[in-house]
Amino acid sequence: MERRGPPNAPRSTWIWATALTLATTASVIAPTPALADRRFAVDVRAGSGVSVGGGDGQATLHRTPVYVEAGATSWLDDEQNVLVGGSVRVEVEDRASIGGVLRAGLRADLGPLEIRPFAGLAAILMPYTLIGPEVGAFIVVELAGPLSLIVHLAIDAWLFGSDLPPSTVLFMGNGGLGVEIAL
Amino acid sequence: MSRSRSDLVTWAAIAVSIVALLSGCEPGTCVRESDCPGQTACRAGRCVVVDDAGPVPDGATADVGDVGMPDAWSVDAPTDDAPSADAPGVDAPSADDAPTDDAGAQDASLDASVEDASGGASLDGFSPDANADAWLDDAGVSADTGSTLDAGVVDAGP
Repeated sequence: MERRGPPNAPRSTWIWATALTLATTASVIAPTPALADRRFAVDVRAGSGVSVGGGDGQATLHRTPVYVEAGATSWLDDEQNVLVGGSVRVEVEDRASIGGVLRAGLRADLGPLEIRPFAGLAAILMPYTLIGPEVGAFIVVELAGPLSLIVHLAIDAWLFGSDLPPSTVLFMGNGGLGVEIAL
Repeated sequence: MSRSRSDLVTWAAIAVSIVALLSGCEPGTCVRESDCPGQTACRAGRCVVVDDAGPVPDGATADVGDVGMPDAWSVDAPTDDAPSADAPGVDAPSADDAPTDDAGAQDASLDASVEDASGGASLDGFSPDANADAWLDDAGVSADTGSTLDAGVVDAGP
């Protein structure tokens, strides 16, 4: 039978080397910390803003439908300046749609304020679609204990979707207000 | 003093702009398809009516279909021994069945076959009294459907 593995290496050495490589790779691609090291916060917000679109060389201003978002944010104790999060967004004015946003950002503690700039991908999924990047910031003001006031400022650039008129891109500048609870 | 007044004017202008934007915008404008109600679509910032009713029926089929002749000729006529002048013109349009496109197509064939058999006379000029035999012949032939219909289509011309 033909022997597998590097020439002149015992079979056990080859097995150990393979196991070590797999373990190292797993530790790099899946650095899962213990759950106790991860912190969470949940929030509920409502907001609106201004939409700019139109097409055919014309810019049309339109108020963004009022929306409600419920989100969660998570960060690690040893990397408190980096956070990830997401939220479910529901448009509730003159229509009913549901979508979501995935975000990654930073935390900057400025005394009573906490600023969280972020970038993410936003999408409205039903009953029509809109997909595009979102950038913005959360401003969090601690009220009492785990309860905080949260202000959401964001700009969305909707690039794709069935709700876009043909050959147009839609920009939204939105602002929202709500509360956040640290868990 | 002047600076504070300028600041005040600036802030007032900003506030008015924000209020104007947040209070809505000109009716009928849109930036998304979902901004437009019903059968309208957003084009160049305006909600416009989209005609999705499908192709318009061609004139010949629609006109002939309105006459509603096939029942009168192919069904009623053969059972009448003495057809009255009302038979083709009155009974058919008010008939029991609203004409459809298919019926209209048959009408076209039948009309053409009738015209051919009566020596090219138009239906309006067709007189049951003067052409009773021909009318009966036509009615009888029409009752046979198939072959006459085919012939009518061929004879219908361009």
